[in-house]
Amino acid sequence: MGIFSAKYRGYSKLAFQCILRKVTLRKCDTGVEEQIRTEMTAIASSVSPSAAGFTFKYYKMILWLLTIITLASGVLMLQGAYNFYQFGNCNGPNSDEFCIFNPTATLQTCTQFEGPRELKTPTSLQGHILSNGTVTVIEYGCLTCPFTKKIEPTVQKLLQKYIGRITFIFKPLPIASHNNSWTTAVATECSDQQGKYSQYRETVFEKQNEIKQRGLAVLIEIAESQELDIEKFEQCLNSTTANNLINETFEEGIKNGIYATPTFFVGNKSFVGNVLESELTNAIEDELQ
Amino acid sequence: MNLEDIRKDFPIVSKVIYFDNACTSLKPVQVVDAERDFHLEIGACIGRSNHLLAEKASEATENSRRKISKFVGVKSEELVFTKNTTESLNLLANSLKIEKGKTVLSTVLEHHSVILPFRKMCREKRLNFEMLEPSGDGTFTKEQWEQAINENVALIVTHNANNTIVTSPPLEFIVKKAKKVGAKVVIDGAQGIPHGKFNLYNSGVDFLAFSGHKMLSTGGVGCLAGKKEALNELAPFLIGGGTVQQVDREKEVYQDSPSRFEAGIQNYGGIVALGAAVEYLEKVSNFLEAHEKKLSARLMQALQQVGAIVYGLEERNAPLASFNFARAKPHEVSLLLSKMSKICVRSGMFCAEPAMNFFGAREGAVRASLYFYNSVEEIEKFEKALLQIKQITGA
Repeated sequence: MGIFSAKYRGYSKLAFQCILRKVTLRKCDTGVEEQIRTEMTAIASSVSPSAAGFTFKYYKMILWLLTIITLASGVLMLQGAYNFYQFGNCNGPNSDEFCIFNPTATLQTCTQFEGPRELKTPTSLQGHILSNGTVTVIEYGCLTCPFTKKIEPTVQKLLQKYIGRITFIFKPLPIASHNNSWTTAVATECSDQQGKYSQYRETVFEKQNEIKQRGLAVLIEIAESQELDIEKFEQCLNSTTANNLINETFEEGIKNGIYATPTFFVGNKSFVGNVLESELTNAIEDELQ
Repeated sequence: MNLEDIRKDFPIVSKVIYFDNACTSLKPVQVVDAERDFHLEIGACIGRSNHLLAEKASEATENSRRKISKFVGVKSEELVFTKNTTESLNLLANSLKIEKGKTVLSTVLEHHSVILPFRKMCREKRLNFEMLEPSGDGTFTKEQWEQAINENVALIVTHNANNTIVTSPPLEFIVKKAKKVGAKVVIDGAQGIPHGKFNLYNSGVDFLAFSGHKMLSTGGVGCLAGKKEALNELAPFLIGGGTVQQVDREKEVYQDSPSRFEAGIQNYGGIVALGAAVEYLEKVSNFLEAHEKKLSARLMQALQQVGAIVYGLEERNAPLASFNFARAKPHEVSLLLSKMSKICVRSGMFCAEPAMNFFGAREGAVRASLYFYNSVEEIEKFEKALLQIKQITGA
C-alpha cells in the first residue's frame, strides 16, 4: 500500500525497518504492529463496534489473508504479463477478452484491423435475413468471436421484440486471427443449405472454444448431432459456392470499413462492439417513428 | 473569566480533545502574538548592541524576566533563562559543589531529567545517589523522609508535583529537615508551576527549575530560579559570549547571575512569550484553581466508571491520571483514542521508567493530563471513547 499511496508510506517504512531488525535478530521496536492494528480497527469502527472488535481481535488473520491475496494476484499479474508478451493478450492465445495491459485494443470486440475506421452503411441485403420488416438492422459478426457470441442473446431479444418490424441481416465476417473462423462461417452456410441454419448457428456459438481448438471435427460432429446429410455437408464445405458467399460478405465488410466484430448498423447509425441493448433499441425506435 | 471565553484563546481545542498537557500545553493566541510581534517589530539581540532596536529588545526581555521572577517569588537577577527544565537541572548537576562521599537524595518518582544528570554527577564526583521509594499508593510520608535525610545528605532533588500520579512530597518538612543537616533542596517544578503559584523564598528551597512550554509558552525557554548567593556559588556551565565581564589572553572574569549562565544569544522571542504566558496565568489564576479541582474529580470518576486501573491515590491535586486496562496495551489504547475519537493522550513510560516500574506498569501506561482550558464535556466524551475501546479490545 505504501507503494501506491502516500498516506500509508509511513507504515511501509516502519514495516521495512522492522523486517531489517528481525532479520538481524533484534527486537522490532518501530511500533508498526500497533499502528496497523489500531488503524484497521479505527476504519472498522466506522462500520460498527462489533466489526471493530472483530478486526482488533483477528487482525493477524486479516493481514495474512490480505497478504495471501496480494501474493496470489501478484502471481496472476505475472502470468498475465507473460501471456501478453507471448500472445498479445493477458488471457492466453486465441483470446479476445479484456486485457489490462492493452485496454484500448479490446473494447469488447474481435479486431480484424486496427480501428476505429470510417464505417459506411452497407447497401446490399447480402447475408442471412433473420427477420423481415420496415427498418433494416445489419450485424457483421464472426461465429468464432466471443463478443459476437456474447451479444447473440441481445440479437434474439431484438428479433422477438421487433418481429415483423425490422429486417435483421447477419453478415458473416470471419476474423483472420481466430482459429477456424473461415471454416466455421462456411460450415454454417452449408447448414443453411439443409435448412438447419438457426440450430446450427446456435450450437456453433455454444461450442465456440472447442471449434477454435479442434476445428472441422467439431463442425462435423455438430452436423451429425443435428442429423444433417454429412456427405452433402462435406461436399458443400469443399465447394466454391459456400466459400464465395462468405467471401462476398467479407469483401463487402472490408469495403465498408468494418474493422471489428460485432458491428451493427441501424439506419445510418453504427455501433461497434458489445453494445448495450438499450442503445440498439433506441436506434430502432428512432427509425420506426 | 469563563471557560467559553478562555477556550476561544486556544483554537486547537475546537479540533481535538487535548489531554496531553503534562507533555506540553497548548498556547493561547496572546502568547503566540507576543512572540510574533517581538520577531516582526523588534527582533534584535540584547546586551551587545546599543541601537534603538537592541534597547527595545532589552526592555521587552527584562520586562518578561521581571514578570516571571515575580511569579515564582524571586528577584529579576535570581532568574536564569535556560532552554528547558532539563537544561536547568543539568546546569545544577554540573555546577553544584558537593564534598566527596556525600549523598544526593532523590526519589523513584522523578523524571529522567532529574535522575540522569544527578546520577551522572554522583558517578563522576564519587558521591552517593539514593532514590527514596514511596508507599504503595505513591505517596511519601514524613517518616520516610525523616529516615532518609541524615548528616551525609548534601543535596535533595525532588518534585513539587510528579508527572505520573501528580502527588507532592511534604516539601515544608523536607526543607526544614534539609536545613538542619545543611543540605540544599532543588525542586523540579515542571509539572507543578503551570498549575499553581510557587514562592521560592517562602518555600525555603534553594533552586527551582521549570519550563515555559508546559505553562502556555512556546518551546525553547526554561528557567532556573535561585537565591542570588546560591546562584553565584555555582560554577559556570555553558560559557561563551555574554557570560563574561572581561577576557584577556590568559584569563576571564565571569558575570554575576543571571548573565553568568546565559551564554550566547538567547531565545528572546520565547522569553517574551513566557512573560505573556505568565501574564495570562495571573489573569486566570482564580478560575484555574477552582476549575481544575472540578476536572480532577470528574476525570477520576470517569476512569472509575470504565474500570481502568489508575495508579496513585483517588484524590489528587491536579487533573492528571496514569492508567491501564487489564487486557489492552497502553499504546493501542492511546492510538485508538486518537484515531477513533481525536483524543490526544500520551502512552508509555513518560520519561519516568523507575516510577512506572514501581507501579508494576512494565509496558507503561496511558496518561490523561488536563489543563484549565479543558472541559467536563470533554471528559464525558473521553469516558465514552474509553468504554468503546474497552468493548473493542475486550479489555
